[in-house]
Amino acid sequence: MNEFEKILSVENVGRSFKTKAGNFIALENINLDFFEEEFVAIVGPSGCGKSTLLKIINGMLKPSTGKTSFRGKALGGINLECSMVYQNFGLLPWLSVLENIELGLLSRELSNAQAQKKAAHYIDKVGLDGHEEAYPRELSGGMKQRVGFARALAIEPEILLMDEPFSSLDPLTAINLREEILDIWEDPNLRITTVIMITHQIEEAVEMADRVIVMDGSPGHVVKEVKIPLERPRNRKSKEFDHYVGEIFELIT
Amino acid sequence: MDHDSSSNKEIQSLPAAGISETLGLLEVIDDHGGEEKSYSLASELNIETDSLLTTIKAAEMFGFIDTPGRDVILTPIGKQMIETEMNTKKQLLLEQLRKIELFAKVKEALESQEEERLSRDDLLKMIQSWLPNEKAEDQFETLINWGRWGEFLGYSQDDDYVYLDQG
Repeated sequence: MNEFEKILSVENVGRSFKTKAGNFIALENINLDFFEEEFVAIVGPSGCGKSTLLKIINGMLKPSTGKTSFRGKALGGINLECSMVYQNFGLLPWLSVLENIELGLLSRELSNAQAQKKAAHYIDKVGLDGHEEAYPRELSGGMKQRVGFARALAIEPEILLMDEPFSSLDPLTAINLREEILDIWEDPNLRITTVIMITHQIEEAVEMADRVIVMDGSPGHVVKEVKIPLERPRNRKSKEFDHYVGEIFELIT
Repeated sequence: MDHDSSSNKEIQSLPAAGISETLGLLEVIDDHGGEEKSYSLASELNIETDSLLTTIKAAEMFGFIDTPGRDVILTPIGKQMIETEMNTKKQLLLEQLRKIELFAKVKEALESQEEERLSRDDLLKMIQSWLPNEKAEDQFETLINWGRWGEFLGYSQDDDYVYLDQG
């Protein structure tokens, strides 16, 4: 069915949380496969469990039922082949751009020199050259998110996870960074093969993804998967583009 | 525009737009086939007209767009800017920064210093004298943002010096 190798799978995953009001079921019976060289978007209303699912995928959160596996092996803890980009950048304000990026590498058993070299390489890739000594407070939202990307890329993971990465940016900056992330994902010199992005913006999902997973809440479940076979770069003004936006919109409402 | 480099020439202030936004604007104009009315961009993108005009002004200052009448038109260098890879982008931006008077003045000022560097306060005073009608802090901020992007200027908050980026 799919010409690419399966990289990650989520099997019968459910997750519940204990609250004062009782047991809250965030996710129920989730079955998903992710493949090499694909860009997947997950859309759905707030509260449908998208972020919980992403945390389960990278192993920060254990599922209550079911399991996740990476290249056929069941995952027990954090998946070191995943790195995460956050909506609000997740930068430490007292560290410079360079230090923020190096920090992500601390856990990876690299010498200082190796870490510096890797950080410098990814600073270059995301266009942050010249900003190494800047502090987050000196940067615009777009530049802060470039730091977020560089930090995630520097770990050289196979899977890049992004939780609403463009939603705290102004519209023009978001357009620019979407293009740049697609360029990075398509760069054959980078190890990243699969991108999984959460978004609530349907147009963003259709613009970027090969496949859009549509979720709904109470409890969180997958409604449908929609393949987007449009060639890139995609014309946001085209009829086909509109068609897919319309189809997903109907599934959500 | 007149490209006379005499020092008496009036210095243009920098519009407070970021480079990422400016590149995003070029993408949008490109989506429209390289040409669009500025007012229809504002409604399409759902952004404030003021903020769009600031970005348009920056893109024009870089020579990435022309703005005859109400149109915004991508220039060949603007088109190149969105199609090329990151290091060429930075190189193109640096070439455009060199043509902007305020950057030329700052470069001159830095080169006249013994260690080719200036404190933020000293540079603010200079900017105020060159652009008495502008808020010097805002000009400084844009100067550093653009200067860092094009690797023209560096600024370290730790030791509070602005310097020329020698690559």
